Amino acid sequence: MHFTARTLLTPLTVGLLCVAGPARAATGPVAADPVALAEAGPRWDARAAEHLLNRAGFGGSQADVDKLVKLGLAGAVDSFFHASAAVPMPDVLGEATLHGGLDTPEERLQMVTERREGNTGLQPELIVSLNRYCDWWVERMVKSEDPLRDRMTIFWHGHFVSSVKDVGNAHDMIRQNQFLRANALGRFEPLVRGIGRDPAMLRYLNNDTNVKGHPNENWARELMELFSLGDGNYTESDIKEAARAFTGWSRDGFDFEYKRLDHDFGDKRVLSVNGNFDGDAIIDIILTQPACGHFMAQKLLAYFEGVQPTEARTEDYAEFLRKNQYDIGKLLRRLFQDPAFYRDEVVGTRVAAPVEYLVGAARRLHIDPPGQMVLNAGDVLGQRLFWPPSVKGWEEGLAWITTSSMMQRSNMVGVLLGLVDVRALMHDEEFSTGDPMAAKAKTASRTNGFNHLYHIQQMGWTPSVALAERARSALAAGGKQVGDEALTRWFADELLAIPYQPETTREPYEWLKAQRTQAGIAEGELLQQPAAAEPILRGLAHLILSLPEAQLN
Amino acid sequence: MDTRGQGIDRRGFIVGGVTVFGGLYLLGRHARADKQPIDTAPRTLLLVELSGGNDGLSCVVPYGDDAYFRTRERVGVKADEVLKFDDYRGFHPNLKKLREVYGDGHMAIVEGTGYPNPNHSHFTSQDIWHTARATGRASGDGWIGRTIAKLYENDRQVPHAVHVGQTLPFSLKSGTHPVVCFDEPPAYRWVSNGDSIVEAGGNPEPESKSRLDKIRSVVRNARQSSEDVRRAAATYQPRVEYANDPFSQDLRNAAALLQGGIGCRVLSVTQGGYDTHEDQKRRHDILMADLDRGLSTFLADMRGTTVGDNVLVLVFSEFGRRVADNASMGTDHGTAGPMFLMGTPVKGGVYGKHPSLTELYEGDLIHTTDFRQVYASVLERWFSLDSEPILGAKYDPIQGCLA
Repeated sequence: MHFTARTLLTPLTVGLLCVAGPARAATGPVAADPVALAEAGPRWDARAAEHLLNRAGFGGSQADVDKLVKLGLAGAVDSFFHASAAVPMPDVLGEATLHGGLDTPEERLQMVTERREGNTGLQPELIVSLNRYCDWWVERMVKSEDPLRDRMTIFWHGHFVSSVKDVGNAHDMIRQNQFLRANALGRFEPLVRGIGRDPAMLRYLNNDTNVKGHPNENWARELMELFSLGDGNYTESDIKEAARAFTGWSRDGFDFEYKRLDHDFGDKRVLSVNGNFDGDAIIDIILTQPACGHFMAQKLLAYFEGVQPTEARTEDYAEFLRKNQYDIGKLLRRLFQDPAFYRDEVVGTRVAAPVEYLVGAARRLHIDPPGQMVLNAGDVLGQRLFWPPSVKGWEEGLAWITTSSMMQRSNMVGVLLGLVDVRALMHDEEFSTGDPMAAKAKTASRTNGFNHLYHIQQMGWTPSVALAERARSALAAGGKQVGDEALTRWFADELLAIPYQPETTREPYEWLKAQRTQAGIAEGELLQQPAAAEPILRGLAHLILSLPEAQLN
Repeated sequence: MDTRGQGIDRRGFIVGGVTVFGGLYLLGRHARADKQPIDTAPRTLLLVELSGGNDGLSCVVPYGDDAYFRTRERVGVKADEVLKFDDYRGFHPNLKKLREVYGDGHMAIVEGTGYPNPNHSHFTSQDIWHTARATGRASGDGWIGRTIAKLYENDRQVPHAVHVGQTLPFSLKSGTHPVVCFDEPPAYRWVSNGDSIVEAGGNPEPESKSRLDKIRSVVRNARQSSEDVRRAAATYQPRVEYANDPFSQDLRNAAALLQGGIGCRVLSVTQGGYDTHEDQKRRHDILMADLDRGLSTFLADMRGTTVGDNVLVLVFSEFGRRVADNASMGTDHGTAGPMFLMGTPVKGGVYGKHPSLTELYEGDLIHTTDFRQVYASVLERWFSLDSEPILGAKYDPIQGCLA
């Protein structure tokens, strides 16, 4: 966000003067005159464009922001809806028995042992195909050719939740992800109907064993509570009756099958309507409930704005959904052009979810990490794709921020930058006297996140990143001298998604200055010595991305 | 309030020529000010949440009632497997060691706990248990958060509530007091630049509602607790060996922090996986075995030590399960279930009344004891606090369960 930094005082000056109270400089934009595209439209400037890029995509560097500014609001919004839904996916389903090499023999043995003990239904070969699929998905996110679809796929993954932990195979999870992806920006109705027949979901919420006589309520309950209406908009009796209607929705091998003999053909009463309902009829009834539009509008607004919407705003968007066949894409187009979406309460105040944080960091750093690195770093930060913590998905907002996650966010960006050796997180060299490998074994029992990252590092992965070269071409063309302050500010502008106060860059500036001095390089000369500058600038980037400001978008 | 470190003008470091690396280090250490002499350990609480809805009827089995075997013919515990302890009740067959704890008089079972108008949503019901209010999160902080705020009205710096695990439960939530959360002790640090990050993060505005200031506060709390947590966990020598499963390891780390004397008053751990809609017998059997192994080890590790004899263990779950099973060899969401109090301070036995298995409300057990009565017992008898402001209403403590 380059427009805030113009008021940056020399950090040293601020320090020496000990000015009373922090400098609360005005943070108004200095970008070119705002392009007013529509009378009632939001002010379209770099700040607005970056906000849109943060929320509809995964953020980006200043060059990405400038591109959006030039498109104008309508063109910028439009650009998020252009890419085709039909993106060829990697041929991983056919490679279900192929061994991909990330899990160690010990882990395979452990998995087999656990399966024998009945602890998990996971099949190692299929997990490998899930990893390969994830490589593909993360690469797409980092490249951001169709970022809104990627983001909405994550949104739906956290809404229509299934977890590979319970589903037990990657094949179903990949198919579900492809289904959510294909329908991510479409109407809500096909999503609900499709997810009700989705093999992973049938497994995850046990509807595949829901038969007449002793119905299983799991799917019927979460369909109403978490997927469509919200707690308080149905009765316990509605759930029991709806569960009867879904009896017989099952699977045959890897596919949906309606098992007529298991279906309860008796009369039911659901949400005050009587009839001999089947599952589709229940979905029809749900979609006519005013609560459905309200629930989805509220959830989408809260997700994209990062603050709970007022009742009036929720109802406004709920009515829009009802009038537009619950078209989610249309709702998002409207939202992104709504001046209220660009209000101060919303801009720059949302806590980035772990995957957004990691992908955003990779995009801003121009790093192309292996998908499995992002997957496992996300796991360490509390967001393992394909493995949501509960049927409610991930809790957004400040729930992402704990004492532990603040440290790990920094450490994981350090891993992306090639600065942090994961072994330092698996064994406490300072306090522990034990055997490092024994400590590693203990870690393996809880989460494999650190272990997988360790293996990626052991395989010799290093980031191909050239921060010194990038800064030089941006700032020091023709051998121009660039001081520590300007360099710090440039990196903060590139790496932070939100406006920042001048004092935010003071400590990074001091750090850079100390490192440069230690390396025996005169101020202004750093970019002329790329080999010496690179590790220092990576450290600077690491520090900036570890700041509280870097957690918001 | 411990003011060491807090009042330091960080600009002073630069002026004085002291490196920020050295100067900020002080901040991380002042949690030790609360360190208790080893012979006067404070009273502490270990909160154990069985997440997903524990089937109380398979945990403490009412084998004396034929209705149990009629309704749970397929997923229930078999009559000859029950670890009977009176003429009506017995433990799940995998609770062998906890059966011994009960026999030794260190476990109180409070039967049929629940609340009026039970909610069958995991998340709404968890919120009710976490806040002790029917209105859930809308009521503000978690009940442990409020408890810590009462215990330490003037100390908002040192984290006294710690969750061992990745996801912080709402019960610990406090708008005023710091909470620590970790799952892997060796990883509970910044590998590099920790001091610079804290320094650059800036001081949060007191009482600020801005997200940035809240994150800054968390960064400060992280820096403060990092060394204490890592040292306590890495140097801890348990008296009994803990198993390697995640639940046992969480308990081991909770024990380490308690024995480490770093000011923790409430520790929290979660054992997940209780949502047994399907294949309940196999899954619940494994959960019971893990629970038995973990808690019995923790209790054995604690017992007889000054710190350990002042630890009270409270076990709860957001609801029990439907009395009748379903077609998937599982059970759906239900209502009332048992709570457990364990440890040296407990006067063992069965408290409250078992709900009827035949007089049901829409197929569910009707609770006989409000769970907040158990909370009231902990608050009043254990922490010597007035429970009413914390729980929002007056609940009668369970008589006699805490000596």
